Amino acid sequence: MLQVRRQTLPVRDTEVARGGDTAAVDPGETPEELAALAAVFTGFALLLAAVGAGAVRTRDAAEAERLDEAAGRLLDAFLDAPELREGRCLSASALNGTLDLDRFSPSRSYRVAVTDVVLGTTWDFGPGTQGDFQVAFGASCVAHERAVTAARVVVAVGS
Amino acid sequence: MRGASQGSLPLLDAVLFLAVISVVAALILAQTPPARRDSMEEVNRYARSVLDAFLETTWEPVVLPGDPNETELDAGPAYAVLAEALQVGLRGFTDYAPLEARIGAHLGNLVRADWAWRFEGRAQTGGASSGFVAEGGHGGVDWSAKDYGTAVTVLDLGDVAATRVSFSLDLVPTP
Repeated sequence: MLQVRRQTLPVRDTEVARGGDTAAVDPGETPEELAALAAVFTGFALLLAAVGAGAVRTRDAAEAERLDEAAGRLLDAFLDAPELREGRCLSASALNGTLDLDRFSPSRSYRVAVTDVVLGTTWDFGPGTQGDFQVAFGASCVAHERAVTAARVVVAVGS
Repeated sequence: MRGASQGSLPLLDAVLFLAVISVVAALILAQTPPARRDSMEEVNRYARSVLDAFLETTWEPVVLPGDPNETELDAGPAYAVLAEALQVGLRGFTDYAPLEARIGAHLGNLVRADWAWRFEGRAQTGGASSGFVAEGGHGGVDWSAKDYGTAVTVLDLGDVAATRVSFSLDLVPTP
């Protein structure tokens, strides 16, 4: 006697309807399957978020490095400008007669502040900065008519 | 063959997959950007500019207690006043406390508030040596263990005794 062994094959997400060409999408047969799918999608979402955050962080670090270098260059250019110097120091009269330092930073917004630590005078140059910025710190002496005083110099550049 | 026999997406595999991805994501998200620290080149440059500015400043006369007599130093650039004081120290006992106080006042205003500084002045001639060290700024710095920026200025006085006067400034950002 012929015996027919019946075997049930696993049916996954798609099932071909008998007698037709159309395919129906089955999101899952059991609650366990739905939970597993949700877990996988959540994992991918977390991974994408992490990769995105890492990319943003890397971009910000590179931009900060560029701003830092720009601030350092502006500081050096300002302290070494012959028209602002008197001997080894900045000239107080030259600082008083200077309106801006745009020639040292034509493409970025900037702020240069020179504060005489003895007299308390401050010379401020530049329109200021917007957004994130880096600062460079320096020091110089300021030559007045009769005395030389020390001054802090702070430079910030805009992005 | 668990998946084949059950005919559904294996829950355990999916959860393990989620766990691995979550750990990777958590590690990436937990990375805090490294605190920005000034490079040693920047620190040395800053120390150089501070020392140059400080030594050029004009000082009022200073009276140094000493033995047998006190000495009054004339007004002038800081480097000249300090060099004269160190030469006086080579000749006999000299109390540098008034100089240290004045240095502290100047450098305390000039150096960034969150930094520590150490200034040393020294004169040497033949076998004799005299000098002092002044410290200030943000305290609690172990100078023996820290990497710090340094600037040194050496004056050759050109005298018969070939006196060599040196000034050094150490700077370090504090946490």
